[in-house]
Amino acid sequence: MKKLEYELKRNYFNRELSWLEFNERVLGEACNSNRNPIFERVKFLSIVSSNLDEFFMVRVASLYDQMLAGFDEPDIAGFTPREQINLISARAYRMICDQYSCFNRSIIPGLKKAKIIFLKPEDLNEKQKSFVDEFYKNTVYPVLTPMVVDRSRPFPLVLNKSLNIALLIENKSDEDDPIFAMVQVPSVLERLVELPSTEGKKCFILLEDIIKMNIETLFEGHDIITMACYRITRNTDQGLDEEEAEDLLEAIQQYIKKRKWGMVIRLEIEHGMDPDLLEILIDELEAPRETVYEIKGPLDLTFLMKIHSLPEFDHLKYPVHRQQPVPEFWGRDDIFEAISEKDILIHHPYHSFEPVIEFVRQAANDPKVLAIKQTLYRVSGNSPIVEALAQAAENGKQVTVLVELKARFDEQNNIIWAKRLEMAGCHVIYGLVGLKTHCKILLVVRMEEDGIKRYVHLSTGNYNDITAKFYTDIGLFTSNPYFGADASALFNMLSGYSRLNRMYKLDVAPVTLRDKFKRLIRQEAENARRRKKARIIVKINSLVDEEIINELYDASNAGVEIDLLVRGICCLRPGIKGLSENIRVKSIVGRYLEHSRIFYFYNDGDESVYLSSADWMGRNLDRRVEVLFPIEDKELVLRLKEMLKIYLKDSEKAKMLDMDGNYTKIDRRGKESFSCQDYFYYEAVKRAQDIASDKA
Amino acid sequence: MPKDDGFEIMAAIDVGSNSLRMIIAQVTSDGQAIPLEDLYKPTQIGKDTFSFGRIQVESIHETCETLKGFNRLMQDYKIKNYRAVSTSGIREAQNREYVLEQIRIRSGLEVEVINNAQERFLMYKAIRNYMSDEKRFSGKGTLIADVRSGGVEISVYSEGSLKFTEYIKVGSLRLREILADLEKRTLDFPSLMEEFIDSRIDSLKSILPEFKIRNFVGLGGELKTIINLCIEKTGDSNRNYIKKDELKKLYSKVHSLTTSQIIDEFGLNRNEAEILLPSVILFNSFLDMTDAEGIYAPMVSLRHGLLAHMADERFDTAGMKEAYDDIASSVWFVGRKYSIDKTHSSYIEKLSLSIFDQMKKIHMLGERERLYLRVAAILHDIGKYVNHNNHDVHSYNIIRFQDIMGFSDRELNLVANIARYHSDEIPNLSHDNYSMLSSRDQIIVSKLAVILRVAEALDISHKQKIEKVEIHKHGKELEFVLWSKEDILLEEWSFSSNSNFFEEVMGNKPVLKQRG
Repeated sequence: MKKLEYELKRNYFNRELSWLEFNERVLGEACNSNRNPIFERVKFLSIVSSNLDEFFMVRVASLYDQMLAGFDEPDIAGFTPREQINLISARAYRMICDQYSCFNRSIIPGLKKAKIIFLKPEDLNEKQKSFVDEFYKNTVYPVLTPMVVDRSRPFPLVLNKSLNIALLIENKSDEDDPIFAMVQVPSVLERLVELPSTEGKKCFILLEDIIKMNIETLFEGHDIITMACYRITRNTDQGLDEEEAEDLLEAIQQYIKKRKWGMVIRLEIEHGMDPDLLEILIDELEAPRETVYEIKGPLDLTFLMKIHSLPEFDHLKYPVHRQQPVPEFWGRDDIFEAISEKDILIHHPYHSFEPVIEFVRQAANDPKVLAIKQTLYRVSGNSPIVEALAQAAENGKQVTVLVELKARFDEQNNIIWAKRLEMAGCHVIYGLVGLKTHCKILLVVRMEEDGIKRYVHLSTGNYNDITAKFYTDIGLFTSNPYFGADASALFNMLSGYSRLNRMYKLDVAPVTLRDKFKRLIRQEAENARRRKKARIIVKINSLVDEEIINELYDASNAGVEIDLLVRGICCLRPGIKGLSENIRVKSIVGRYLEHSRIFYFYNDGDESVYLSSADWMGRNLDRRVEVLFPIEDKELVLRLKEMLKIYLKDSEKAKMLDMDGNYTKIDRRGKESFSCQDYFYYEAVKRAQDIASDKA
Repeated sequence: MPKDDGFEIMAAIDVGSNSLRMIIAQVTSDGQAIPLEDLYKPTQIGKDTFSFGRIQVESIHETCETLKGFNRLMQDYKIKNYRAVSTSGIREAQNREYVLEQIRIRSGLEVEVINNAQERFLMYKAIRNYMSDEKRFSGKGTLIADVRSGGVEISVYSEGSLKFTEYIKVGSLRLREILADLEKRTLDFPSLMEEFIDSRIDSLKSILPEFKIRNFVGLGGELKTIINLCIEKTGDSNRNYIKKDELKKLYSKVHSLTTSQIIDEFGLNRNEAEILLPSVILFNSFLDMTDAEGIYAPMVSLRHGLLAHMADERFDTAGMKEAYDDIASSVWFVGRKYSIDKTHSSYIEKLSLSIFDQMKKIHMLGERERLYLRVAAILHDIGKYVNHNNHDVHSYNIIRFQDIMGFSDRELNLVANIARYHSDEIPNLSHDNYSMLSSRDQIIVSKLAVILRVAEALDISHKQKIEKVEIHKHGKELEFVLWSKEDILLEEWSFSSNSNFFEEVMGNKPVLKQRG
């Protein structure tokens, strides 16, 4: 068993290192040639890269901010920002080595078997060479902007995440002092260029290689001394001062413009870059030395996503899973009627997202509907939900949409949709200053024969039809009047019309949610102390919050059996005697991104299950608007309980966290491996078929 | 729109001194209200008014913004029927007309300023509608103490009718603002406040005990906090009764703490903490004046009363008739205070209403106007308390300064005018009290005054000679058939002296016929 680089301090894991372990598990899927088809592995490898990009831009950047601001308080694991940066650098470096070793030794040969071949300039045949020449002349050359640095021309501004070629070229007036020059690999062109080939092969070359082959054309009259690719990552998450912003929308637009110019926190360089060239880059970019990563292969593997989406390679991907119809809505024209009969649970991506869209569509066109209110955090491009909402407004419904502009890296997209909705006549609100609106809630107010009736959809995941195809999330449809009243009260708070009154069923962060979680955990601890059966099963994406972790330790000491399914970061150290010996932590990283948050408490026999938009992180509990909602229908409680059992049974994609912070495979004890995601899919298929044959 | 036998969605808005509130409810034809939305937003209006006399610009902005939001929410339900009222916070502000205009323009809401009598009426409706245990009311001696921001409204009910009512300007927020400067200059602010309150409610100490009050109903926003603090240990959050000793305990605790200590000790915010002390002292002082063993707190507020009232108006429920009878009974309380001739007034009330009801197709007035006539009939001779000569003018003056439950200033003025013209003089544009009325109100006054005059004429002897009146229409003539076994020459004469004015106002010539 490998030992981690960092010394374990106190009772918690550092969140950044824990995150890196999560990314390691993604990398594990990329390397797993036994279980995963080559095209899926390519995708996982690409995700490792994009994950790292985001991690550096947000988390590492924040640590640099802290360090540069002179903040040297240790985190819960006992590391100062400086120490964390060092540990991250070391761990990330090892991960990148592993990633490229996987790329070079496993992915490239794997793709080759599938007749997909990456070629280097020296590998090209005549036909391919002349194609490249033509392509360069007609397509690439016109969009290149070579830049030379000398006394009159300062070092250019290098864009965040842009790929560049740095060069030293000969100085005709002083032989000993070569000139620095660079050219950006244009982001308007595809990084992967397909070459003409034979025998059913697909051959590709990378754009930067094409430019390198023709580099003399850019610096005519100068000899090229050396050249290499590099890429920088900048600090982008500069805190937005919301108090001062007159208009939030404007502030974010400003902020997006501003954030190109953050400090360099990572400098990736091509393997074998000339040391002089590197020194110039470090100097000019003001990049700290520990931010330099030498890469043995192409920089920025996110281009692999293009390989994954090549047509006609379905046989090298996971078998197709068709999203299944929801049995309760099967054959029902009137979605409101179906919801009126009983609460309905849907489980994405096994169930189709269509009922959610259909719900909004029907609401938009139903003459009885008075109003629709919805939170939108991240929506897809051409979102059918946005279309339906706009349609509703055009049909004269009162439509209120809370658009969260601050959804990370999605701001630009959200502003466009906000404007579209406003044009259609929706009342668009941008949430409360200082609090991201992260809860996912949809309310339809309907005037029926015997009065007002409210329909609510609550979910653990965003109203995004695209991500609903590969994020696992659970949604609830209900016409329970208490849920309706709570939903109204929540929207009144979000619109700034009212303080939050006492809620009947929902708990809302940052008001009551943290206390509610604490009460629920304490209740189990209390029951355990009274020698009653006590059990907690929680499925979340991240567990970071110290207060919650301490409650869990306390419950463990009281004798509560605790199973945690934490997909990503987990700062809790399980299995330590006298601290957490009754806590087991598993992580499932598989075909679908585990995203649902489920909370189960044995509750002295009156088993209770809640769903939520919130993880157990400080930001979810204190700085966002989140919702926790109970599942009240006994049948649905049983279904969710069963679901959690299936999750815990997984022995294929689940890994177990040990007390040292390592994630290890589940010991199957000779049994056949079991994948919960496959199981859920087949279950959904079976139920849909049963219903279909019943109705027929 | 829903049918009359169905339901309607209505909104009631209270632009209060401490908070802006709105309730949206589905009201069914039997008067039941299912709340759909209940909104609450704190405001500085009361603080501004009670300390500067004017509402500050910042508060106006916030109020307009919030009310705009309320209006938007009303659109969600396509609400047509709403009522927005404001109380002392806006009523007493010097810039209230500007504020109301700003609200009108920026939020699209019409906010009416109501007086204490209207507020009392609405609170009374709220209690009637929301209290399950009616006995608390009909039983012997019930005191309702409504501790509001601007003042305390005290009402005593016994055997189903109002016996006593008084409004004292010692509201919780007002006290705070009046005494704010003194807080820094004394170590024992609670005692100082208590002395001040004592000085204002002293007169009640001799009156209230006479009523043998056994039930104490408390109203006001702070009661919720007080209940929470009193019952914290028992944890029964649905309780709506505070035992006397629980209040005493809280009283002595609060008495020894500064505002910041209250914030820490009870976990309240500053606004809540500041008005806790005056509220607790007020409830304690009033409770001491009764024989009640605790305070019953039905937790209703103005908006509930508004809603109940709107429901009654919309669906013409039994609640409306009850409310009018309650108003009449509170009017009798005023009458007794001024020693009116009960037999005569009650006879005139009956007679004028009988005439009004039989002439509905002629005067075309509604239930509310009928109530004006009824009140004017009861109080028409109230001026005799001052002097028999010119008693009609005295009646006018006295009525204008009464608190008549549920009556706006305009309505009170109408009633005073009707009483003004019940005997010698008829309405005349040279009279300021008449000419300042809108033309519509002038007609209402004249029509009702003429009915009152006819009724008065028919009992000019104060001997109640006529058993009943029947009215029949024959062409342009209106025949009054008087059932009486006595000689009614004086009445006939007095009646005919009114016939010109009657014909002028009603367009029909009255003729008399006696039967017996």
